[in-house]
Amino acid sequence: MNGRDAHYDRKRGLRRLVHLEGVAKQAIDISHVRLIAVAAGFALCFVIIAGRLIGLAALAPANESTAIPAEVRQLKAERAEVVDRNGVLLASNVRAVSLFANPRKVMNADQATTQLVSVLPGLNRASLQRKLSSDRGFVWVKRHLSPRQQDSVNRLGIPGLEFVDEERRVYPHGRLAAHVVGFTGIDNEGLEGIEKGLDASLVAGHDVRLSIDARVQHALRAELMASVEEFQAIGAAAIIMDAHNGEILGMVSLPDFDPGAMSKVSTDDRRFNRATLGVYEMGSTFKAFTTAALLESGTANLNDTYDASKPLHVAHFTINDDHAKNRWLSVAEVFQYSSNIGSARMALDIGTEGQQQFLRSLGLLDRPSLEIPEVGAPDLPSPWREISTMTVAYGHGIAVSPLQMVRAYGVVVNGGHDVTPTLLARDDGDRAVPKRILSEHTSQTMRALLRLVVDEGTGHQAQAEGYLVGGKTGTAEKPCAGGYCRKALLSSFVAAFPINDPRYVVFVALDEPQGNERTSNFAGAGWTAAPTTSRVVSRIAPLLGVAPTTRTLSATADSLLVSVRKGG
Amino acid sequence: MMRPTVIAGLVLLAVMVTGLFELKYEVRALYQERAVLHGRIAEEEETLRVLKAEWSFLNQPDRIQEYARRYLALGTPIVRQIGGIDRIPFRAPDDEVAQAAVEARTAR
Repeated sequence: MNGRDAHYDRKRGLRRLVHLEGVAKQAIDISHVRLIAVAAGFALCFVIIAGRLIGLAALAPANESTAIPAEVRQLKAERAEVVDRNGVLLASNVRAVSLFANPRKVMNADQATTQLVSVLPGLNRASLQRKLSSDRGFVWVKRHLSPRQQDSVNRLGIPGLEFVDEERRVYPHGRLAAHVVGFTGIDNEGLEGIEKGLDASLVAGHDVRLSIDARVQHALRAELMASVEEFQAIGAAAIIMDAHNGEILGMVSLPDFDPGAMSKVSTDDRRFNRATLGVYEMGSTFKAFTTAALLESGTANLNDTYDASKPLHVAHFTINDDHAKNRWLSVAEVFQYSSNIGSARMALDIGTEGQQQFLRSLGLLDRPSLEIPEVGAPDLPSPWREISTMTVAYGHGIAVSPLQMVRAYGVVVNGGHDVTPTLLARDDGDRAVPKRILSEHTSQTMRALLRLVVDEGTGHQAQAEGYLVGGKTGTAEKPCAGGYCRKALLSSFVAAFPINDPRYVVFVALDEPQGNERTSNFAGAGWTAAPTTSRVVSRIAPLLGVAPTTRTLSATADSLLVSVRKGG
Repeated sequence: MMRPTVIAGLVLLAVMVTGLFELKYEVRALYQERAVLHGRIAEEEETLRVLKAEWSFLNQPDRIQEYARRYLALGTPIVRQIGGIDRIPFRAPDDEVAQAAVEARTAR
């Protein structure tokens, strides 16, 4: 190679180099840009991550607490509590351990059965053996073990047996409000009472506050039990209701049961709620409605008289008076002496339609609603003939529940406003303006008449020292095959106190009471239900903050009677 | 010119990785602590429920009535024992009380 060539070559090479350099520069530029872009992208990501890290480290504790942890929510999900109006616990849950088995893993079913029966008395040996030798993967051995039982099963060391934690419903007050609270099944599903009626709400975790007052409930139940004992009654029912807002402060049905020992629904008589599900012919307590309807219709006043001089014959029936006066009686006297004849004649003046309309407005002809499912529908005469109108006037031929009676009496004495019985505590705020059913005037007259019955009528034994009680007795013969039984009575008393401005309505009924020496063998309401009511009122009035009055009984009665006798 | 950036980047990376791991373990520890605390809260709540049920059980009116009858020298209140605050007379002025006390002492 010479210089020229070299030059040429160099030149060519140079030229080629320059050319190459142009292409390379382009590629390098492109890759450079890409590199910067990628680096920038990474840098951005790292900056974001760094920022997030700083944010998490520095600020996290502040916003973490806003979320509710899953565990806490789970705790709330169990069945809610039932408490009385003052927060006394009536139904709650405690943790209980249940024992189940996987029979496929149980090696020696015979031996396991023998061992289990020895530490868990109450197990059925045959059925356990059958369960353990079956080919299933899961069988319950025993639900809700005590810690001691759990320990002794653990000590047996039988393979294939396992424990699981469950919630068990407990009723710390036992029988106290059995028919109100009701009970649940083994899987905590509501079966009766509030447990059934408000099952959905309890399952959702909403605590239930009842209108029941445990102290009032206890007093009511204790007095009722004493009377059942004294008069050898087969059962009894009682309700105390606030006449203004319908809150039921106490409700007892005897005989009762221990809700903690219940697990199945059955037709056992103890579970039968006589206070709400049972319907009975109430007898004379119905006369209050006949009298109120008559006064309200304006067809007669208190001084108008009715012929009660001789028994009343209608169709095949004869209507007699138990305390016959055999003369014409004023409207007030018909009530005071509890005249069937007079009431029947009054009902004829009101008319069938007027009577039905009035009874319906008091809720006596329709099935009432309450927060528990055990609510009975009334038994009405069908067809409703004129004779039905006459017998219904004194409480025969129609059967209603004690729940309906307290509501109707509540309306009669509270000034004539509608009232809806409830088992849930009401806030004072949510009281709507109640519908008017009776005139204030009729209600006042009825209070005076009810006081008259206690002051100088059949309800004399319902007097409670220091408290002004007004009420009406009702002694009804229970229906038997082909008629009525002379010996099987339903003796009831409906009272309101303090009668000058009634706040509470008390209903007491004894199912088939027997007379004794003290009552000269009488089993009527005046001898049985009335004194029970007196004791109940004396006991609960101080609890409810009703101040005893020093007004003497006769003075009060006189002032009331003056208004009654003036034609009120 | 590139070298300081790379070094700075690597250092930053190392710091961040360490920080991330630290944080992760810290979070895990806190999470465990939280689980333990929730377990303890659940236990305490269960204990509370049992105690509340027991308290209610021990407060059964039937039971208290029986104990009151057995151990207290108290009877059922009667109507005469219930009254308003206005029925209680005002206390006599102090000097009168002192005077009465002196008189009582001298009389004895």
